[in-house]
Amino acid sequence: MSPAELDERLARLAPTTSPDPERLDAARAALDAALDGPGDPRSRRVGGAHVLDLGDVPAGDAPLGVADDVVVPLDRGRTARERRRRRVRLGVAAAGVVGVVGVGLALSPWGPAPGPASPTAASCLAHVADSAPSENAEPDLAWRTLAHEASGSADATLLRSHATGDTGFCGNRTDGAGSTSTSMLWTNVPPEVPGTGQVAVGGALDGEWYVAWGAAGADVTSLRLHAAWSAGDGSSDSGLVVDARRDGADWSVFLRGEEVPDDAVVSLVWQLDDGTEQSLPLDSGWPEGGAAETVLTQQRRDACTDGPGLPGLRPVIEERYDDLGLTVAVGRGQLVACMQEAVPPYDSGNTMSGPVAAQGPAPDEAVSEVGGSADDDRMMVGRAGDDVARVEVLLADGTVVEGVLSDGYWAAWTSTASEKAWDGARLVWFLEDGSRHERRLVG
Amino acid sequence: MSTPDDAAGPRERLAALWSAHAVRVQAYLWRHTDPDTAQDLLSETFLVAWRRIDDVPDPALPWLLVVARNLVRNAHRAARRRRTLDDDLASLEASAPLPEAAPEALAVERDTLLRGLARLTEREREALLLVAWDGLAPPEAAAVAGCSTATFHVRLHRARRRLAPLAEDGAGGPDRSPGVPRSPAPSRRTA
Repeated sequence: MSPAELDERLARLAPTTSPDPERLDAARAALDAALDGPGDPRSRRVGGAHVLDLGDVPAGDAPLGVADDVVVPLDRGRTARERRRRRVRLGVAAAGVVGVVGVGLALSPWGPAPGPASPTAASCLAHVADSAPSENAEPDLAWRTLAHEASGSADATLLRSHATGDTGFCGNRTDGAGSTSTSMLWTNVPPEVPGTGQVAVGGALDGEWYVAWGAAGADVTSLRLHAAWSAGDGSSDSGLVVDARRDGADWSVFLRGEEVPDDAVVSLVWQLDDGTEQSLPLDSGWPEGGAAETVLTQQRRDACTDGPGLPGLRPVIEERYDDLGLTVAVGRGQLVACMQEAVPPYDSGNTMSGPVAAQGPAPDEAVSEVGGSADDDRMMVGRAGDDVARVEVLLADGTVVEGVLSDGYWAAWTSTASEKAWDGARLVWFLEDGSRHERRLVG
Repeated sequence: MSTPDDAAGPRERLAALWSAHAVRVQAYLWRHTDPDTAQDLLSETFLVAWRRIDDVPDPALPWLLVVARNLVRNAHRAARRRRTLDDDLASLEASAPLPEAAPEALAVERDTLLRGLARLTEREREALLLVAWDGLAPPEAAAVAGCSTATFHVRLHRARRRLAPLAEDGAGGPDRSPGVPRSPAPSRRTA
């Protein structure tokens, strides 16, 4: 089914009448009462009397405490980049916050249940096998349970295939009248046991469940997941500390997804047998705002360039978009660009590579270098001169795809453009002086 | 849909905003909270619009939905909502009532699509409905969703991909997440 057809079918269901006319009328009555009368329950009172009648207040003034903490829209919404900066700021404060929480609470919100696996865990294999790539014609039934945890309403299992090394997760939850199950199969080779003092992350999942797993060096005595976040009103900080399950060198952590808010800073913290402690922010695969690069940063770059076999490639664009990210690296006359998962193992879904000219464009020029499509994903990468301030790709249907510009390179990608619109696209660039230039996109 | 007249007085403009958008905002609130809270927040959304009447742009719907979204978030801070599949389906069914005398085919399609929508993540469902139901362009919808336009396109793309097989097969089949083609391919199933 095409996106247009799907949108059309959905649009036929768009609500055109109130879902509850009586409540709509009641809301209007409450609004009118607040505007007209002294009965506004939110009005500021002095000595039991309303000091202002909203009906007398000119529109546009905001003298009352009505929803003062509501953020009204500005020109645009808060961007992902801004949200990530907030994460960085939280990260600075996180160590102290988590330290306090950890001492008193050492939370493990639903502990491991000794005893036999639940029926859900028993069916995990079937779910994982169902998720396996179709090329795995022979079902692999030789799986090892790495970890299993259960409470009255939730049940999670992490499995490892002896034959392929695939790692599978199954989680089942029952809330009120409904239940949800989630399964995930990571087909990357699990990380080798890391060196002294090190911890490797093999995979992560952030959705209905928050899951992370990997391997730890032999001298790692304990490993915990720390999550820290600020309360919505900024009045306080909150944290969560969960001990990882260990099975030999393997470690894993499961949490319900809603226990880790979107803006939480999540880190692995581990202790070595000499008593020292180390930590690894789990979103450090995409360091921003001067944040330190970590082993996850390199792991993500290697996943884009298909391993560390391409030394000398220099990353020039690294942008995260929610659960996907874009990496562009150049070196030795080659350019590699890929869209990849935002969390470990950072699987690359759309990778392009090609030669780039030794000489960059003129200061007032932008050129396209490498482009391509995979399924619905379309991407173009090029270079821009020193005077270029902004780059766009103007599709044939008039859609504008904003490019990312960094370090003399630009990239633009879309997953919603038709092939026809993309084929007729034009490259548009704006110089520092505001002038606009364009040429046909060639890739 | 009527367009509020900027030249009219503030009270008239607020009334025009209500006439044009109250149903949409109410439906949005029903998708995100319970009916009682939605009723309160609907009033509050337009109270905020009254206080900021000079700031309300035209078209106003994206602005109103952002205010409504922020009010929902405030309301949820005290008690985080526990999301369940049945809760989501009930909210969707309530927020998009079937017109009276609707043909049976539409009722069947509605049932299929709503069940599919309920099985998406909240973000994916929001991306689809802001575009398909609220008629917002991706940049406007991104502002309501609180993300960049590029991120919104990713959500929309994934939502369409996940919903398409559900809409074709009904909600009884396995819910695979095709995602962007990648190798190796993690897959997720939510049932």
